[in-house]
Amino acid sequence: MPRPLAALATLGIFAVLAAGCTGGSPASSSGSGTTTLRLALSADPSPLDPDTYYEAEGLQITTATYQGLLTYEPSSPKITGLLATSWSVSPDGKTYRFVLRSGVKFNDGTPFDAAAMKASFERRTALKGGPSYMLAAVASTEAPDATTFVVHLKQPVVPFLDYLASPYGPVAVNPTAVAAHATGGDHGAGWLATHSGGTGPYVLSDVVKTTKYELTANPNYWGTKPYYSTVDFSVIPDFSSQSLELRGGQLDMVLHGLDTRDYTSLAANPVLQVQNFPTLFKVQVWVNPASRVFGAIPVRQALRDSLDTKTLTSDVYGNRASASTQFYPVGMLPDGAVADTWSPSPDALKTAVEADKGRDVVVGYYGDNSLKQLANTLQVSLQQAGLSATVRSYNPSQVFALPTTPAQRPDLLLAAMNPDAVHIDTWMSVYQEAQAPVNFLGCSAPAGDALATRAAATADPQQSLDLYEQAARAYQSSLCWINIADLNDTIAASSKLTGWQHLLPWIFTVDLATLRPKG
Amino acid sequence: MISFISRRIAGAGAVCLGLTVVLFILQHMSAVDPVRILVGPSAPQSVVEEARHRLGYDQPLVVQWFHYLQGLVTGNLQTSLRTQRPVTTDLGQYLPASIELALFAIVIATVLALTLGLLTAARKKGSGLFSGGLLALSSAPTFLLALLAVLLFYSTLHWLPATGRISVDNPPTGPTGLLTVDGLLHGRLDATVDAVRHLILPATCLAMLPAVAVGRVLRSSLTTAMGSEYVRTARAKGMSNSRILFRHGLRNSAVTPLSMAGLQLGTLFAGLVIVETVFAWPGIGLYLDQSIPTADFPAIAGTTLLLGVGYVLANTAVDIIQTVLDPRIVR
Repeated sequence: MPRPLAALATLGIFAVLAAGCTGGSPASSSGSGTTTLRLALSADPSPLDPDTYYEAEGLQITTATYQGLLTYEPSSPKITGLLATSWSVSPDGKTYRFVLRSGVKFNDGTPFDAAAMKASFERRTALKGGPSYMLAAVASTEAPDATTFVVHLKQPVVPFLDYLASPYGPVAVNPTAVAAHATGGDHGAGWLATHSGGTGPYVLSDVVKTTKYELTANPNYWGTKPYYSTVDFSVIPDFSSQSLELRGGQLDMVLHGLDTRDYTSLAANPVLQVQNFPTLFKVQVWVNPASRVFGAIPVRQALRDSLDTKTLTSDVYGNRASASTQFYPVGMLPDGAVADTWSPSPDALKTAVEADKGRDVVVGYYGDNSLKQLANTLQVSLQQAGLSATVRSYNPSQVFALPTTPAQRPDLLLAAMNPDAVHIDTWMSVYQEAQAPVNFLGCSAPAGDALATRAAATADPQQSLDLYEQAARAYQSSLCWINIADLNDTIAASSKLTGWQHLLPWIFTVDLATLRPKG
Repeated sequence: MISFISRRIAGAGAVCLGLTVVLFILQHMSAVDPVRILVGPSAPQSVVEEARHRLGYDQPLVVQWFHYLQGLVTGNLQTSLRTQRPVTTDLGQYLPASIELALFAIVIATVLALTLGLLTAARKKGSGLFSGGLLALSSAPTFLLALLAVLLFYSTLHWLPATGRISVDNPPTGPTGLLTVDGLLHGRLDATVDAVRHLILPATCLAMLPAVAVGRVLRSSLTTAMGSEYVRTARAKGMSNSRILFRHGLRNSAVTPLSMAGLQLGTLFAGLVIVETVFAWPGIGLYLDQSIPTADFPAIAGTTLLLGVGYVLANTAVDIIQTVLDPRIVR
């Protein structure tokens, strides 16, 4: 009698576990002899064709496989040559002449020249992807010889050089590979979704969707060969799992997604390190001008004054961010040109919203747990001021629909945004102008818009900068945006890694080619 | 029986049609803009509108629905906005991983449910502890259970891997897409063993809730059956308790737990999204999880339809098994 039951019970309890008790341990960490670097992606990136790719997850792959004419110096707003060694701009700001680097080859050995760059510009325009706006003003291009590339613009585009240095800017795409793999007039987009045809230090060598992406060192790379011959990306959506695998030695790096406590704990681990790099990210409170409470400028002023950004930043982000002191991200305007500091006055808001006591307000947030924490803190402040505040989260498809769905807009929105390049126009024209595509809550300053438009059309750099500064002050005085913090790109990694380099507009990305083991 | 099956298949078709209607209405009501996500947040409005026109999102909802149905009939579930590949291609790639996970979860759930039902119905020593433990585990939210499992079996004990389907180099590809089976077919025992090791944690987490639900119904049915007259007669004839339990009790108690098992498939499908996300399991749950934030409607609709069809078909199979066990049901 007991035998069948006992057998079944034993099976039920132990069958689940028995197969697993065969040992097995986390893989050994890299940086100790092996030349494979193991990273994680939190989601499958969209197709990795650099002429349509336009998101953060996977930027690490496109920046390692493709290169443009220009780039930024590490952690600096200064533009420097990459595939171009020098360049000049005509006095009217409409013609750009680039001298190209000699001896550069695409990853399949095809020589890179001006004709390839011309074809790359044309491809980007023809594909009409999101980043194609950077070339919208291009009238024509020329390749008079192998190392000279000329761009003619329809009108001056003040941030044009920054567009070329942007991580989403135009890059050299191998026209031979494009022609060989083009099907149905797709300009090779189908093939380039899972392969690469660039001049960067790595080649996208293997893609198993939702599972892994593999980079191998480009055998024809013109620059210093990277130390790591292979970089494996596993798709691990859950950040807790990423963190555990980093601790267990199965990953060498976690590119983003952890919260401050995780980073603090990882930094305290002797076999791990946490690196912080400055970025263009601003954590801001966006104000809905149609809000019954925050529509009035004095109330916005009171809201701003009530925020102690130093304490908020320190509590929520630790050393992952610093309290904002400039109205725009680093490098966009000279330091101090549009300073953005104030003395916190905790009771200011209570007095300002006295007439709206008990009124419902919605605090939205778009982003990770840190923004949620900020939203919750703001909710408490609003409650203490006598308002009835609720918090609502927005996912990407909801938040980017806000400009066209005013009824869905919260009273206040917390978001961390970054522009495509270091130039101030890439911030104003995307986030602040009245018709800007990512002006979430529709708040703007007409005076700022007029000045920004004039600045963008002014070829003289100094005059343009002066106009941008005036526009910046107009936007600042509108109090449509209240800055909280400047966010770093925080990366947790094996302590054995060194050679870190990072560019200001990069997110969740480091220079893989300069990484190497310590010692 | 043929008429019964025909009715069920017709019902499945109606469910699918209803699902497409619900999906389109929900998409229309939700304030999301998938096209903006597709082309990038900073893209100018002209680029967005051109993409909207190209994708047909500027057409009336009824027209969009009609086009979708037209495609559905020919097996075209449109192109994913996120991956830029046909949804059928994506589903074809991710489905085997989910099928393998779901099958393992069903096996584990069956073993646990039978153990729970039989032990508690027979009031064996320790059965309270077993059922209490199982109940406690099933009461935990799936994501928490998954994280605890990873912490214990990966991080602390180093027994099992935390993420992915397989760790061995050059894993077998095809013909089934089920790595455990393909490993055997290719003579790669190492791949099969490794695939099983990767399956244990996610499949167990997925199985816990259905196992307890079915096990408790089985216990109740068994308790009723064991008090019936034919069991008394069997005892009077000197038949052993275990023989009565397995030969008479279990068969006569199977109908209700089977119904519950069919219903629990819905729980299992819902759990796929969470479990596949935590364990980085490259299946349709993860595909759905990554498609929702970007409002990738073709991917969401395709996955939902697939799960809906799977649910209806599985319950049809359950109904047929029930009619075999108890032919009175068909009437």
